[in-house]
Amino acid sequence: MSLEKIFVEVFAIPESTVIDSLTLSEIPTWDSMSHMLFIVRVEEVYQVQFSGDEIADLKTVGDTRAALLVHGVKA
Amino acid sequence: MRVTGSRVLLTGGGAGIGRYLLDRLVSEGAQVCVLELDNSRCDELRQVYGSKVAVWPCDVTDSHAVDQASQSIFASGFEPQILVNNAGVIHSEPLVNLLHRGDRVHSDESWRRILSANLDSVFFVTRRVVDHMLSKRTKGLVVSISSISANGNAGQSAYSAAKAGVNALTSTWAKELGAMGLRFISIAPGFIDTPSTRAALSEATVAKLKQQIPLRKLGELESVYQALSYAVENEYLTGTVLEVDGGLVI
Repeated sequence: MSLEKIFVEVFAIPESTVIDSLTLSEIPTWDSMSHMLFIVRVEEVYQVQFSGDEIADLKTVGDTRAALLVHGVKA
Repeated sequence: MRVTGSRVLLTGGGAGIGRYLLDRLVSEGAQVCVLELDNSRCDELRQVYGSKVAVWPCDVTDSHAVDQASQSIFASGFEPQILVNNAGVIHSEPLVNLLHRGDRVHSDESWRRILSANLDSVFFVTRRVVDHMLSKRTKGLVVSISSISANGNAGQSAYSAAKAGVNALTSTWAKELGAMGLRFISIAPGFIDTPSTRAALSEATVAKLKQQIPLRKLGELESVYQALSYAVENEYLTGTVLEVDGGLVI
């Protein structure tokens, strides 16, 4: 599953809006609960586990891609 | 998850149910860190357990004290996997005392004190421990000692309200944080045979109680520990209240 599809699934937003500069907190359906579900889903799909600090730094789609790359995943 | 080898942070381990749980956890090979209010109890725990138990004096009704103690504990390298919120104070006071004249309603002071000791404490300690667990991605467990009085026990407005609040927090947090692998359980003892229970209730009251309890006896402390052990080991258990009460319904 692509990272874009995860955003669509968790936040119910159009795939076309999922660009690297998209800030999570600006997504209308984003809140701290959906953020947690988003993290869990990304970890599940890509079989990684982010640290607490990494999670706190995930502010944009681009940040998420970069964090996955650190874990050896190109998303 | 098993008790043996686990790292447990326990509040109120100096006496009563907490002391028994501490003893059993240590005997089963858990590493335990205790937050205890009473300095003489802290000294006694250090004498009895030595280096087996880390003892931190702390008033868990004081959010700043909890913040400082938890910071120190984590900085010492202790990484809790299990939090047992045991600290609490039982209290009976009627809403209106018909035997008094004048101002005979339940006092503000005892209302606040009991809510603070039984509910605020759970909130203050859990938020710090869970924050730490999340930062370390620990798939931890929080067990809060509640009471069957949470169902409403005549003469215990503050205590019942506080324990009902503890159960609500257990349910709320289970729903909020389950996705991160954290579990939350309440254990609600009924009438447990302890020195403080015997001191609080007359022989006649105990005899009457036993008749109301389906199993016709007061509970043993070991039953509370067994509930804790079950909560630890059953990794599909969360958001629930384990009533350990001999079938007594309040």
